[in-house]
Amino acid sequence: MQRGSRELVDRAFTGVGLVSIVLLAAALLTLLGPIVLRGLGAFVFRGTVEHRRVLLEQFGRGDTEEVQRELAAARAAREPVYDMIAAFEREMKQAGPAERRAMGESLDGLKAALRELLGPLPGDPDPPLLRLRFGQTRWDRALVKLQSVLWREQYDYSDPTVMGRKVLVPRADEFRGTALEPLFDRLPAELEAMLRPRWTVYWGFLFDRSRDAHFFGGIWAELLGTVYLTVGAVLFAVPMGVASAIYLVEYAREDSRPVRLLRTCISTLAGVPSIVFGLFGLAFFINTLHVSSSKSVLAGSLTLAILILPLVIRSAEEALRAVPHTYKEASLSLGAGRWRTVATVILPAALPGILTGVVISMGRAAGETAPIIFTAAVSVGQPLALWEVFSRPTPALPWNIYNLCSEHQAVDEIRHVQYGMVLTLVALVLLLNSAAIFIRARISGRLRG
Amino acid sequence: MAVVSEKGAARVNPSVPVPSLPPSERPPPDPAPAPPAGRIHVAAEGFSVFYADVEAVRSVTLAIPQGRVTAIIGPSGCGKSTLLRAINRMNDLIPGCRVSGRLTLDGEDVYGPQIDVTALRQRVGMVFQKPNPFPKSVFDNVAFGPRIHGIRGRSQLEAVVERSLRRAALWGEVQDRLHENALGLSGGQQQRLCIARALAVQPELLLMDEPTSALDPIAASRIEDLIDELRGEYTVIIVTHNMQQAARVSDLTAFMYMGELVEFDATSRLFTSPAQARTQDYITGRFG
Amino acid sequence: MQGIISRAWLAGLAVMAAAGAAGAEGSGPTEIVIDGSTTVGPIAKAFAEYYMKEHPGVSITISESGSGNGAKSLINGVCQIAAMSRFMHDTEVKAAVEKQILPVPHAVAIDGIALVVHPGNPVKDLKLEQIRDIYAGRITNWSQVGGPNTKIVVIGRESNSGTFESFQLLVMKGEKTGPSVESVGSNGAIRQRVQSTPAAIGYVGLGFVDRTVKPLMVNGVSCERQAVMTGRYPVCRPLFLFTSGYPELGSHLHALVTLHLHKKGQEIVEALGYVPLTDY
Repeated sequence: MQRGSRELVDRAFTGVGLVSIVLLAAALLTLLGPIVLRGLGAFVFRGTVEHRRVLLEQFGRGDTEEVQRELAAARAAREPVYDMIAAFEREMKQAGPAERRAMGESLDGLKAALRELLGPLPGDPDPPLLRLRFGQTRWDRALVKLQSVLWREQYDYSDPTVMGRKVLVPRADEFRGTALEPLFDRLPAELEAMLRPRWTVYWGFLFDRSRDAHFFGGIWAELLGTVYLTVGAVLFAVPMGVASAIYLVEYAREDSRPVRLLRTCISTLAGVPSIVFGLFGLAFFINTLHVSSSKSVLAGSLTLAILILPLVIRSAEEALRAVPHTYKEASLSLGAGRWRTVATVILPAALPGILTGVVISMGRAAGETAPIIFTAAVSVGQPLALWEVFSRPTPALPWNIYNLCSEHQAVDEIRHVQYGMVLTLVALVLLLNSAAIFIRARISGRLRG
Repeated sequence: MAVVSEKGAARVNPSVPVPSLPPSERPPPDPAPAPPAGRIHVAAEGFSVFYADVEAVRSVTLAIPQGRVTAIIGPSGCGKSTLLRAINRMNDLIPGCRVSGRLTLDGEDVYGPQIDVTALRQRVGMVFQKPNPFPKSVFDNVAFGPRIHGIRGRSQLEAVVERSLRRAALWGEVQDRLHENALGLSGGQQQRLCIARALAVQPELLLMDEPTSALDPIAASRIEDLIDELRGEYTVIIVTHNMQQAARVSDLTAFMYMGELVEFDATSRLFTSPAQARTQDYITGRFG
Repeated sequence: MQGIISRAWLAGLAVMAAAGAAGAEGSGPTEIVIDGSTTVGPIAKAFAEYYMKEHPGVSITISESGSGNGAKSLINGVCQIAAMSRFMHDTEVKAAVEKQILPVPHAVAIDGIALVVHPGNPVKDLKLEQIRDIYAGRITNWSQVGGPNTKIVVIGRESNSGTFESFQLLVMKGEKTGPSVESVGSNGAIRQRVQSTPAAIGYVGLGFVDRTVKPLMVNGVSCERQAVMTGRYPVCRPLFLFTSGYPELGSHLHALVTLHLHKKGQEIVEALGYVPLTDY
């Protein structure tokens, strides 16, 4: 090749490489950006006095006196609203039956929207569900609810050839000339005083249990469940995997049929879809071996262990093969037996590679959903104590993210929880991978002297 | 820190070409090489090594005396390393390798069915071409061998380590760095460490497979001094590509060519008046 | 050093054991597993939360894998309560009896199956036959039932769902749904599809109707409390909690499946948007 064209090709190649990296970084940012930003919203947000009330009453945290003081101030700010409603109700009594019915309907709509915003109105019976006992705990949600107080969603069906258009009708129009008319100006102006929002960092999101189907509280049960499942999977898979790798590298005869069959099996296992593992785990561990009478963390860990086993074997094998042949020669020439050579020379030298593989497998196990659906995961459950993992199921991050996003009764109310769970899971996996890189660097440094 | 050995002056200077007598005036070649004096340590009788179907060592008969330094020289691929590795059965690591004939250590067949290979390898130490200390501390490297063979006590190990490092002429340089990573030493120091490691198990016989070919001349010279010091207490068999080194260091030299043992004699005689024509051709550089 | 560590372990274990045993009045097992319908799920979760608050030593876990899977779990002995939005089939009952399980139903609420469309859809009312025709594939365009000229996107549930079977029974009257019906896995999934697809129609339990979807009137009857309770609304069914045999009196299991008989239980049911069994 001519020199000129050779340099051109070299530069083009470098350019393609750079462009690929830039594209990859852009894709990563596009993926991670929203996750991080919205997920952080579960931890850092403007919390209202209702949030502090929840923390105090349900979790026993916070300064009682201060919260009482704030509540008193908030109630004082809300008094005028309730007074207006009472005045309107008196007006209702004066009106004729037809008018009263119409006013009653409007009032019911308004009251329902106000309850979602501020919590139970005075005179309301004690609501049976926790979610109905408090107003909005987050200021961003409060603003959304404010809109549904001020506006009613209606659809304009005037054009029969197309689907209706959404139209926002001010609720104030229904109450023109009544005692409630000033409410619609007063409410947006005074809402801050009624709810007293303040920037809050809610670490309890990670460590509190969820209350009333994730309406309040945090994701401790899910987080702990994921940790148990991951650690359990590693505890089962790593000894088996490393031992298999040692066998394949040191003891197996490469050209024999059984060994080749074994390798094929391991490769096949790596390619099995994870849902198949889940069904297998259910059929084998729970229904046949009865490792537990129903779903349990034990069964889930065993299933996950089989899922990550090929990964562990592969990375351990590579790490073992990468150990210079000369170490083995030196050890054997000194009179060490084969097992001692493996245990004291080769394994320690292969440690960074093996550990890296183990930690990456942990990241994989932490995020898998299908294997745990049938074997370990439940929608609702208590955080488990250590000895309960053998017999009880647990919520887990990957499964519960799906569950909260699709099967929950009030998906829109708990969006921040969904994002928070996603961020937690992604952060967990990233943390594990970073740990892998760190460990590898530390130990390789030591091995290279 | 150049160390010039004082013994260097006594050695044959290889840069001066050795004048050879014209063929008619040469004494008739000995039909069988005279057995050297002293107890025989390693003896081969019709010993062959095969890699699959290739005969790498062809029916070698050889008797190596105890307490001497014996060099094996020859061109690449002549089978010298293979023969060396057969003595401590390192060839067992190579799949498809088999032997025929007899190879004895102190009269005992090394390939006999009763032989405990690990015990054999404790009696026969080996130093490799490229220094290969373990990625552990200097102390742990030298203590590796003794630990295998049952020495556990801290003070015992320390004594063994110090003795071996002194024997390998390395103690002075590493006594303050015993617990640092061995890979941080220079090439020459690493090789001496490997020698110390091999000596730590107190072998009778030390096999050295081209121990200085990966080292610079100064480091190589220190290794050669070391071999000189080990003479008498240990039997040393050294395979080398470097004829001049063989001439400097060894008492006896064996010349191998294409798997066969061509000539085996006292070093001074082999290099000044070799009996075989092929030996002559090799040492004068006609091939190799 | 060793002695101190092992003593600390023992002390820790003792504390944990004590904490686990405390606060459990009532008798019988304190671990209860509920599995089954996504429709009954919110009721089960609310009951569980209420009960666990009253009895801290009890631990209740809830899975929502569908009525069919709930029945299977009960038959296999994997759960103690199967939440189902339909009654058990004869095949399921037979399988249960073979494994020496006698399924006992406890009806905890009534659910109306609301036919929902996107709020932008002008259609307000459909006859039962029209709905059947839509799901069977005979009516394909909204213009055929008084809406705009748009192809109907029909969304249904998967076959392990109790809601699906109730729908088949009450609306389809046994007829199979058409091939172009999209199957999704839960009430929440149907709601999500319908709220984001203007031309969609689906069916969800009453507790899942919110402002983002519009429930249709069926045969002129709208899907709300009185109509469902009296049976005027044509598509309604009771929601069950099945146990194996009648639970032992005084056990936590018994208390859980009779919670709906208390005022508190019915209040919870109503607050969740379902219809209580009676005008308590």
